[in-house]
Amino acid sequence: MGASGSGKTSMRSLIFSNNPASSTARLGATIDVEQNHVRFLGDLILNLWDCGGQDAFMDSYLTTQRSTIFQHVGVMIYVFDAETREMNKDLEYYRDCLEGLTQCSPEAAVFLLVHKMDLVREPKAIMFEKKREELQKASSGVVITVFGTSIYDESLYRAWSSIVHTLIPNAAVLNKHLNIVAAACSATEVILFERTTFLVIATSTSSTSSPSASTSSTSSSSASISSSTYAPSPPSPSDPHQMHIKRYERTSELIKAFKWSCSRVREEFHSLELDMYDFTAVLDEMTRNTYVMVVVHDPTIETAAIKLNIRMARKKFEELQGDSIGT
Amino acid sequence: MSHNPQSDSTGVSRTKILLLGLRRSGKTSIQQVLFDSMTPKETFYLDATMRTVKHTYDTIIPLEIWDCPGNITVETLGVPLSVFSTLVFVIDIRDLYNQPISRLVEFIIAAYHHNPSLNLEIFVHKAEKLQEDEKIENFRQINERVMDRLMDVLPSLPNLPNSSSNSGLNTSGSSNAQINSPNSPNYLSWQDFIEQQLLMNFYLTSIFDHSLHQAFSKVLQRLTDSLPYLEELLNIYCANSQASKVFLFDAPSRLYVASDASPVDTATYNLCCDNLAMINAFGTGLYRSVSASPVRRRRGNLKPSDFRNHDSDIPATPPPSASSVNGESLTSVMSPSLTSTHPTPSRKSTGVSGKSTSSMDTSSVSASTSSLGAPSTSTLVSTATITKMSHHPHDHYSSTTSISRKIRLQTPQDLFYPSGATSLQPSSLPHSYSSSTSSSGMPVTGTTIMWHLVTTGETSLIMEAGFVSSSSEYGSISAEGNLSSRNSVTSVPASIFTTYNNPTLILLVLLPTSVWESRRGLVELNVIAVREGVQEIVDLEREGRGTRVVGGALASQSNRRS
Repeated sequence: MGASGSGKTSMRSLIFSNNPASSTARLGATIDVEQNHVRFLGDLILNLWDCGGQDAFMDSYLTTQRSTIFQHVGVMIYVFDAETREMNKDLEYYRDCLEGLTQCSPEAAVFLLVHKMDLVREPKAIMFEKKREELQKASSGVVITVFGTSIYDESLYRAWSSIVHTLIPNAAVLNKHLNIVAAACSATEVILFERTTFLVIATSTSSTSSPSASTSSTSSSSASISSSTYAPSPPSPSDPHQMHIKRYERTSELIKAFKWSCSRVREEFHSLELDMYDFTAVLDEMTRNTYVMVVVHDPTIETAAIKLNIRMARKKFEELQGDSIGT
Repeated sequence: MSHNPQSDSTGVSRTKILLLGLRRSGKTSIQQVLFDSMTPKETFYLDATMRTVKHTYDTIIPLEIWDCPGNITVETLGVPLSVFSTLVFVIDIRDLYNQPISRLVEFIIAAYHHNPSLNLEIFVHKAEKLQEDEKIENFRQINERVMDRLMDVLPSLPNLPNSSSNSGLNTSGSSNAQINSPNSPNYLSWQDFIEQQLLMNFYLTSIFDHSLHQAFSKVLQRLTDSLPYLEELLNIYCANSQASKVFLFDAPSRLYVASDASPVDTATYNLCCDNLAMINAFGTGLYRSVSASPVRRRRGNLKPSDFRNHDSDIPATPPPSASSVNGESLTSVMSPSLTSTHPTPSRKSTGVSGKSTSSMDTSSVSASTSSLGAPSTSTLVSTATITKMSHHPHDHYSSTTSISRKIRLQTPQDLFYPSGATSLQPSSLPHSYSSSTSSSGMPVTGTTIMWHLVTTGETSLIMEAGFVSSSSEYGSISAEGNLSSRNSVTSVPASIFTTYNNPTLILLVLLPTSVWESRRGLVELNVIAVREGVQEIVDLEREGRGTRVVGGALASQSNRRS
């Protein structure tokens, strides 16, 4: 949900439909609610309710459609335009929606996205902090997580990764098994991506430098995640590798762009292996809905060996995924 | 090459490309996007070009691109047109007025007087601004109008020279001109004449897709004299590796330098271009670890001590003559892999400058000796053809190249060339992720794009008295004095040869995934032959265009090309 023109449909188009950022310019206003059933992790179905933000619709959500909209909600994502001139009105609607949500779905998680950060001219970190405090106050005690995002860089991807991470019940178990795979391959890092959106589900590194490994339900830790988007946090001293801080987002971007190129020639991307100067990596399918990327720095490791290990780990991960749907 | 490019201030004879067009037609954007890694969106912020800027770019041939301001004319150019090998004229597709065509025709006439063999390439640019139908219509119109104008103008010109007697600078009427009239036996209609003689190509381009790259690739290919040799290498590779398509790309610009004989389908080219963009992006250190990344040897990271360490490793082989080297390099590679799985023998294989040992181990450890056994004859057959074919460039260059190869034999064997593969499946096939299980019985019919770095972009080649080393330090010369005595070449002091950088070329191969999975070792082995061949062709080019610096002064080397 969010004000009209704040960027909800664009986000949806980018993350879930894999359209390039430039195509969002052609999107029109959303009329009433657009429902999208997104298959996530295969058996998990996300019902995305993209609610048109124009005043008439908002009013209707809060009154006549109240129970339809606010019941059985797992996650509410409220989008604010960073450059809005009607902050008060936005906040008012937000408060009303939050009230509706806490009444009908008290268990729902709340994520707030301060979007279109690329248009902000003042120093972004400061501006973001101000907004965050404002939103915190308006939420009157409800636990919220705030992100600063833009469709033109990796911040949006990172925010959605964190959101989606909370939907995966057995993240810790996945993490453990990824660590086993990493040890078997002598890998520096093993990353599990969701198939369609290429959002990071879990990684093998347990250091705080990877955002998806840390749970984002408390607002304090969320502050560190969200502020790191615009005020790059120094790499944690415990991390010996200090790899590029935005590598997940960049990887996801690159693979999705290539997948799109493939679709134009009626081919589907399947797997990838790279033997570069600085690292060796294999990106292959793990289960029907996930991809795994194994990053190795040891020059003696063969990509064929890594692929073999992945093949052998598949069964276990399929099992794990079967379990996760039980909730 | 039909020109004698003069050496520039750095002593390199570059092929010059003239980039012309009216103001705001897109010339600078083209140069920036192709050669300076600018994203298409950023070109919006480019300022107008006020003065001619010369950009250099080293690919299979060294280029010098002259990006001119929009108002430049034949007179204000400042140099004669004979200096250039290609003229790229950029026309905005929406501009249906006369101005660009008049300017173009002015230049064509000047070219015809002073440089009749100048390649004329016309880019009908900014194609993204129009819809499909309008695009094609405008393109056709511009093409027609240029031709029409030329037809109008040409009859008034003096008789055209016979192009076969060209030798650079000449003026019309000075050679055996044939009077082209309806009565003469070899009458060529003007239309045919223009199309044949004036060598013009029209391209529909845009910086927002791959059409620009494809167009400029063709421009580059017309300038590459060694293209037939490169194509032959790739054809042989294709035939021996069951590949459906092979491209030799220049990595940073994503232009394809050569391809095998099968026609280049735009969709396939676009896919490979995108794959290369992805590879380039991953290569920028995305997963580089400060502590753990391996220091993989690249050609060019050589120290003087490297030359000495490996003397003992090299089995005593007679100094190879130019013709037998390639044969030797492949046969000696074959024997170690068949006999032992120990990595050291494969390292000792001579002539394998830059073969990744990891691939060697794969082929031996996988114990698919049967796969190595049967097709080995075909690899050797291809070897024989390569040596025969590569004889041609050798005719011109004798002692220098055999010595240069000697030195390459002595470079450290554990050099590393990045490689990788991307596997795809046709969308229509039922998705099966356990494609590698051969027990399924269903043949895997997907495609794999395999890529290998073929030449690394290293620093300038420096030779001393016919002695080649890939070191960037002058100080290393004294260390090489030891080796020079081995090769019985007396080290003559103070004669340095400099040339341009080695380009970064990547081989992209499209294979059926089943071939990739079952014959991987062999397919990668065949890449070595291509690498050797391409590096040789590139080195010859670099030698031909470099300069000998004698006692501090630059003396331009006589160009040995006819």
